[in-house]
Amino acid sequence: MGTLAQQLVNGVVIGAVYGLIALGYTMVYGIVRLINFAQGGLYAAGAFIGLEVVEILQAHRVESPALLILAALAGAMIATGALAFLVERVAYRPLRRAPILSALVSSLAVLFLIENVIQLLTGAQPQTYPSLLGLQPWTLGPITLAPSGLLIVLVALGLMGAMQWFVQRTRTGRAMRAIAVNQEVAGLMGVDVRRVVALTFVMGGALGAAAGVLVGLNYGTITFNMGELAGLEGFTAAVLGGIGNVPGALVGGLVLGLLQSLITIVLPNQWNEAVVFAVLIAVLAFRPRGILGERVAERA
Amino acid sequence: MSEAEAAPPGAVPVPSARTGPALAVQGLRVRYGAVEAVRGIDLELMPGECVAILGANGAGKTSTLRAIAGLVRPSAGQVRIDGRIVTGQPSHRLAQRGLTLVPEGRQIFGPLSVQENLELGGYTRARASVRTGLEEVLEVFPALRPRLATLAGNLSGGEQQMVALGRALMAEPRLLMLDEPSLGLAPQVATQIFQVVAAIAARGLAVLLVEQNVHRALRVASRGYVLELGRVALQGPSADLLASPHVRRAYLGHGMGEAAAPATPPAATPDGLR
Amino acid sequence: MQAGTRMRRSALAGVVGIASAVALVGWNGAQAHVHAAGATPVKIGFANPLTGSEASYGVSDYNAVKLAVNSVNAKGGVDGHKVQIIAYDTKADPATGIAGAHYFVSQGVNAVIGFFNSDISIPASAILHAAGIPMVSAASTNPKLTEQGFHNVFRVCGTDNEQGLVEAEFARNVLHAKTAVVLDDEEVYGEGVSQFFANDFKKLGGKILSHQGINPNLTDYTSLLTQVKAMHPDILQFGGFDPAAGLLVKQGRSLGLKSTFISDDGVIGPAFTQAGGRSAVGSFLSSAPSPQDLASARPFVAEYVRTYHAQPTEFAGYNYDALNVIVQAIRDAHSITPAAIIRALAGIHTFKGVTGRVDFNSIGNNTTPEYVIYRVQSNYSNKIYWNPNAH
Repeated sequence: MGTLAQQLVNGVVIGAVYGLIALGYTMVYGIVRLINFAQGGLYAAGAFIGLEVVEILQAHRVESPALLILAALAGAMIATGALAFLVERVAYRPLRRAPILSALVSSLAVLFLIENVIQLLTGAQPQTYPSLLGLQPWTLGPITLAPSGLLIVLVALGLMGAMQWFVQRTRTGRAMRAIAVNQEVAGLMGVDVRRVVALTFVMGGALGAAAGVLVGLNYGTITFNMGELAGLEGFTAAVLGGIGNVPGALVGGLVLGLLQSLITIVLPNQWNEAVVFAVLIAVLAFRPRGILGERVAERA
Repeated sequence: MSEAEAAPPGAVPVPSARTGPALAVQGLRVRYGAVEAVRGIDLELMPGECVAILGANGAGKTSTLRAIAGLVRPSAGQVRIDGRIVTGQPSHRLAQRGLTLVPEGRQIFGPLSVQENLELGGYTRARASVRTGLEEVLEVFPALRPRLATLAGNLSGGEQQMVALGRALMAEPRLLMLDEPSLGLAPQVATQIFQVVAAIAARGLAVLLVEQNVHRALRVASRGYVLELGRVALQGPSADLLASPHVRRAYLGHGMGEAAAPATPPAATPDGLR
Repeated sequence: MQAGTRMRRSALAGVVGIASAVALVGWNGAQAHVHAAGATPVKIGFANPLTGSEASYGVSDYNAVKLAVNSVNAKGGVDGHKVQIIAYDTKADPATGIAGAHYFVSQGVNAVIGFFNSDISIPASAILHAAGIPMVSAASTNPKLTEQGFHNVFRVCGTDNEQGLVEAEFARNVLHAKTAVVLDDEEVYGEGVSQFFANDFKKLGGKILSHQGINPNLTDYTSLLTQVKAMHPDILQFGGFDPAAGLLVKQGRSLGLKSTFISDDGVIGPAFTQAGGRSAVGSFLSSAPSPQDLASARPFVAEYVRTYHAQPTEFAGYNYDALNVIVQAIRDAHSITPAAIIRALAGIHTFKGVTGRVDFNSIGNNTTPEYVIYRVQSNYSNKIYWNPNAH
């Protein structure tokens, strides 16, 4: 019983991480129908930039954990957003009229480029995040939860809500949805399509960066290639929840995280990833619109 | 954006004392690969004027509109709006200058609600005036009022055309271009739509109308251009064109015959990554 | 188990291959200065993870080999031939690493030192065997490497079965542990040590509660560790490398897991305590004595520290010895042809290296290395805690 409760907690925490990464995929996919595999790289870049921010501030004797965490999140989200802007300019915009496969391959290339640049700058060794939220996890009966785990869940919920509000309730969000339907007509309405698409990438990058910083804070270790597997798992979560659907990203992440942690109760751990990717294949085959995704046919 | 905000605050732009044409096109050519769809067209549109572009499928009507609206880059020629050269500018920039194109086939945003579609039409407007614009459009199309929250994709063809027209009016255009507004609509619905088009034209903005149904078009428009193989074959006041033996033979031979084949724009639609 | 790992890897292998080709150019470029003018140089291929999560070992190994090469070349080379290193970055990735064997064949190397990871060394050895090129392994400890009947394969370090046995003896006879949960990283090396540990632990009367594989590229093992905790094992044994081991102890301790953590020499590098922090303290690690703990290696360690301002890692001494053993074989053979080097290597029995005597047996294993148990101290250094050979 205690084990089950702990597994639920574990699943929610890792699921929130997946949800945050999935949110980045979903933003970009929802608007330009591109599965931006660079998302994993942006996630890793965010983790490293956040660590750099913390180290610089600590060198200047900033010690308040709250301030450091906020600065790491803000710094990483802004810088990674800028990186994503650059990625859009260099690797996506020139291919806007090329077949979708070109942009897909280009986004994969960006993933590996970012990884290699991180490796050149920081070396190949794993880097260590300082534990800013204290070492002691909270204990409630048989359940333990690290404060950073709770932070992940709260930030994931908050960012999901913010994205949903932005896309559904703001003028620019409306323009994004219009672009998703028909870029040409959105342009006729006066929407600067290129600028809004760039903004979408920036937001995707910032979301990935938030996930990267939070993972660094919670798990303490980041590696230059951390985005490969996490990127695939975030992508699975996005598809599971219904890619292009903002709440679906978090729902997909949570379902995937819970599935993974509950599966360890009954199956040896080595089956874990096989289950993840079996889910991906099953969703693609039987319910491609995912849990919350809209019917694709609805698009005019 | 600055242009849009510099536009007169009134709901309907009154044709000003400007003497020049609202739209002037000179020597326009459009080429898709090896095919030249428009081969040197000149046309002019004065503020407050409604002009029809007529012609068979593939005569270059839609390509002309798309080139003016900035959706395709002309291979040669010049487009001026209110005297200013705008050739080759992207469509969103032209929208900010007061040009609005209602594309063929309506092209509304299906997964968005009717209200969101209309609000997007007012994208270039100051935020505060979007609300009043919406009210005005609902006065023109009262049938849309109960359907504001409906997804536009679930509307009937006629209602969708109303959304498309209403969305265009939301932009407070000084120059409105309509591409085949009656295409695919039942005759009574098409009649309704043309009544609205006539009313819009009467409000004083410049309207450029592409239409297969020559009879209807020339009843609304004061003048017309007849395109053939990418060139202007004939032009003149509507009455003259209706009387012209050439027009009668080529376009009115079947009386009131509704548009038969849908006119598809030639070749590649630059539609991004989809 | 192994198949699952392979599939995951191969999905990205193509792109990784391209990326590593770029890295390759970089490393060879950096190495250009070693090439000296004169008689035909002896080309020695060196394959290690120079980038990636296991690069802390690979870079140190490379440094050690460069030290050995410089000292040989400073004395005029071997029989008048300068020694030239052709470095290859395996990234610890099997597909990338195995491609390195083909690369060495195409470069016409006279001998190879590599490939660090057992799951690369074993398939690579077959390629080098077919090409008749001698291969000296300085870190691949899986027994299979030398059990394939390949006359060209030699190993200066020890093997996993010795290492697994030492861990099991320590757990049963010193800690008096009754139960253990075994985890491995599903790579040939980690899985090998864990398998030998599990077998010997059972033979010695202990009970294995569960043996599972993990993906070392993940960051979250909390679900698995929650299950481990529920089994209340005395020992958590892990076969694999340090980043994953650090995450395991950290997350395990924060979940309240009390078991003693035992792991292997893949974990002995600094990344373990960096990732594990305080949770790593008190862990036991099996390993051959590190160069710093060997009297014979003192001059080497001193020279290394002087040159690189860093401590050599676990396998650096073996790599230093591997290069010198090859040089010795060339001297013995008076020839630099691969076939002659292989014959001469088989006759090496009394070579005095910095890690001790090198004595190749009939299958190419070194008969001398011995394993000890290190304990992670509270200042994050490792200290020999138990030496079975001393009893």
